[in-house]
This record gives sequence, structure tokens and C-alpha cells, in this order.
Amino acid sequence: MNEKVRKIVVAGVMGAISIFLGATHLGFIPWFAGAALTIMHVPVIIAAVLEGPVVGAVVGLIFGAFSLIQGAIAPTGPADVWFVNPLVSIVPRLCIGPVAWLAFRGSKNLKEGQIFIISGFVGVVVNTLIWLLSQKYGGFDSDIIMVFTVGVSCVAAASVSCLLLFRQYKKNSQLFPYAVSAIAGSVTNTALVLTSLGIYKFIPWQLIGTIALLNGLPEAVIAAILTAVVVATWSGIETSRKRSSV
Amino acid sequence: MHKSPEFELSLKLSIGQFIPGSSLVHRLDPRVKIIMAVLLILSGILASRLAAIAMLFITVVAVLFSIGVKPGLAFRALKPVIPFLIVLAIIQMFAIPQLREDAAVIWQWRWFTLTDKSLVSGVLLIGRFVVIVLGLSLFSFTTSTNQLIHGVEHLVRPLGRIGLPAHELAMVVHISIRFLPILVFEMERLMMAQASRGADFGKGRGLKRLRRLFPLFVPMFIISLKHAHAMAEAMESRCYMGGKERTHRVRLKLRSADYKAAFIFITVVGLTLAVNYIPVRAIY
Repeated sequence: MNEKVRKIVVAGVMGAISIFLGATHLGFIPWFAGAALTIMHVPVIIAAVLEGPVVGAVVGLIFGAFSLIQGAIAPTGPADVWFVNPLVSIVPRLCIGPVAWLAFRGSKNLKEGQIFIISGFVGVVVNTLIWLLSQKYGGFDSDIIMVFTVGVSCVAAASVSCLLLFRQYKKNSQLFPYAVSAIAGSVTNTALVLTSLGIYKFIPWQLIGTIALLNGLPEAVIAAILTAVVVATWSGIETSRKRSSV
Repeated sequence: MHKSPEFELSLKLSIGQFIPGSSLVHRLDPRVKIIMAVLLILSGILASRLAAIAMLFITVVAVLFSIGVKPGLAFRALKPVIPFLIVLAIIQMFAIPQLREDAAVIWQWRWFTLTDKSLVSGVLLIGRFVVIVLGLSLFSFTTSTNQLIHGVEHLVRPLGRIGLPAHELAMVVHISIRFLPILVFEMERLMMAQASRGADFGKGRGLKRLRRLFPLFVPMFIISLKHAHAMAEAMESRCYMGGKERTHRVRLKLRSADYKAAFIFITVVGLTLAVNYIPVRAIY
């Protein structure tokens, strides 16, 4: 089959899923205290893993544009007002696909232990970058300790998720790269969106670290599980749970 | 067949209704409308003075009244957000100190300070949002999905000449929009099928809820991917090869009404930006 046509259609379809999850609120899984974990970035990750970074970027663009439009036309809460700004809604989402793809390709050949080390390193780099940005744009006390939590949460999200999923999918190391790519994509989404919110001073930096940890970590785990399961089913990879839960 | 309300997904998916009509704005070329919507949003974001926002607001409301649609519909979209907006504006006014030397303190109570600049910024926040929402509602009332897709495709075509995959991008958006109703239909069917097998999607929180939602989400992706592959094969078997040298059945032509509307609109935006940026202290 012609690759180009397939990529176009898959991008369109994944974009539609992202819009659908956002518009019908099926993509918001209630956590507690009113906060919700979103899975609208999962189609972006799946598109990137299955069809490549360009397709991932396109689906990310659709996701971002839709969150902008939803924030403007049919907002569902105070946070939607911030998403009307394209730097908050579109730019971070453009990066989800390529990062997930990179993580996918990178982790295909690596062992699990190496992934922990690399994710720690990446986490430190991300943390430094975010701290530098907060120094430049910090409206509140951009205390290094507070901002450090953002970077630490990225590292934590990556490492802990890897650990959890390594236990889950011990027998199926084939699925591991998919899980890793999903973690990378989800953490990218969390980190970049929260950073831009911090730059625009919508949320104080102290709070951003907490949100990144409380929200970003479970979201990364959920994204990884969902991506791995979907891709496993699609590619026909055998998983240990052969019985359906329904 | 009667469906209980939790399966009626199609109702939830009405973002910006298209309301058919024959007003001037309805008949404008969709490219013009898209550019006007983008310019409106940009000027809404850039406007940092009350007078500028007021001008945009008056323009949008005036056009809203002229298209023959009940204006109440547009304002109804704003209703659920007003409380949040007010809270946000109050937070903006008090919690973010406007540390400018020329800000005059209006009101002070213990540690709450309200300067006139922060009051203005709070009002600006609300005004900006209202302008953008009304403008986008206006756009969606007067532009059908078909028009939107043709407009985007035509606008993006010149980018294709400089090497960007413009047509492919427009096609992706086109497919997304067209696929949504199919997806909704499949999902409704899927929810009912899984529910009849005893799945319960409503209960649980966090990881438990996600577990229960697996029988919904995983088939959703698989079904969509199957649709995608089938469609790709169908397109390819009809000799679709991407955007190269592709001609179009629908051709959009600009008419005099489009030029006039564009001229008026650009004048308004120009005036707004002028009001926004002229260094005259008296304008708030």
C-alpha cells in the first residue's frame, strides 16, 4: 500500500479520535478532588509510533488546535481560558509526536537499565532548562527548590513508570519501547504545557511542580498502558492476559 | 430504537453550530471569513487597552446582529464560563501585583491592593475572552463544514508551491472532520455492545475507571485504524496520489462583496491596533 496515502488517512483518523475524546469528555478520567487525567494525547503518541514523527506532529497540531477552539467556543472550566493562547495549546502538542517517536526508536535497542539512566539524564536537562526559563520569566519566587520539583517530577514520571511497566510487561519486552515512547510523549505534554503556563504567569511556579507530579505521573502511566495495549492488539503481539475483562 | 442518554454521544459533539441563512456574511467567500477570524483573534490577543477591546466588541456584536441569527445563541455559549471568568479576573486583579510605578492604588484592605492598572487588566481579560468567543461563534454560525474545508484547502495551496505539504495537511483535516460522525456512530454502537456484555463505564476513579474503560478505548483505536486502512486502500485504488498536479472541482472566486467586507474589516482592525499602540497617555 502506498505509504503516503496511509499516513494521511491515519493522521486524519487519529486527529478525529483526539477531537472526539476532547469534545465528549470521554477523554477526561476523573482522579480525585475534581482533577482529571486526560488521554487526549494518546492518539498523538500512537500515531507517532505507528507512522512516524511527521504524522505525530500533524496529529499533535490537530489536538492543539482543537483544544484552542474548544477553549474559545465551548469552554468547560477556568483552565480552558488559558488554552486560547497558541503557545500554551499548540506548540507543546507539536512536540509530543516527534519526542515519542524518538523515544520509541531510541528504546528499541536499549536495555531497561540504560533507559532509567537516560531518563534521569534527560530529566536533569529538562529541569535545568525549565529553571532557566523560570529565572527569565519568573513572576513569583522562582525558588530553585520549587522549580526543581518540575524537573524531578519529569524524572520521577519517567523512571517510576518504566519500573511499573517493566514489572507488568516482563514477559513482553517487545511492548517496552511503546510504553517508553508513551511516557516520553506524555511527560513532554505535561512539562511543556505547564512551562508555558508558568511563563505566562497563569499559575505560580510553586504550584506547577506539584501539578506536574500529581497529574503528570499518573497520566504518563495511563498513556503508557493504553499505548502498549492498543499497539499490541493492532500488531497482533501476544500479551499474557488472553482473557477479556468483559 | 430508544437509547438511554448516556449513549447519545452525537448530541455532545455540537461545537459551534452552523445556522443556514442568506445574510451578507453567510455568502462571503470562506477564505475571507477564515482570515477575518484569525485577524480577530490576533487583534484580540494583542489588544492591551480597554478602548481597543471595546472597539472589537462593538464590531463583533454589530455583525452578530446583522446575520439574522438570534444573538442570544452566541451569548448562551458564554453563560457557563462567566463565573470562572470573574474568578480569574479577580485573581488577576489581586494576586498578580502590577508593579508599575505609574499605577495608582485605588483600594487597599489588609494585604489586598487594587491598582487601577490591575483593574484594567482584569477587565481586559474578560473582554478579550468575550470578543474571541463571540467572534468564533459568529464564524461558526455563518460557515458550514464544507465551506470551511474548501476555504482552508484553498488558503493553504500557495504554501504547497514552496514545498510544504499543504494539500496533504488540508486533506488530513478534511478526513478528521469527515470521520467524526463515523466515529461517533461506532462508539455509540460499541458502548451499547459492551454494556450488553456487562461492562460498566460509569463507576470508579483513577486506575479503576481506566480499567473499566479499556473495553471502550482499545476497540475505539482498533476500529478507527481498520477504517483508516480501508479508506487508504479505497483512495489509492481511485488513483489518489497526494497533492501533485491535482485539480479541483470546486473553485472559489472572490466577488465584490468579499473585497468590500475585507476592506471594512481591515479598516476596523487597523483602527483598533492604532488605538492600541498610539502613545497617548489618556487612552486606557
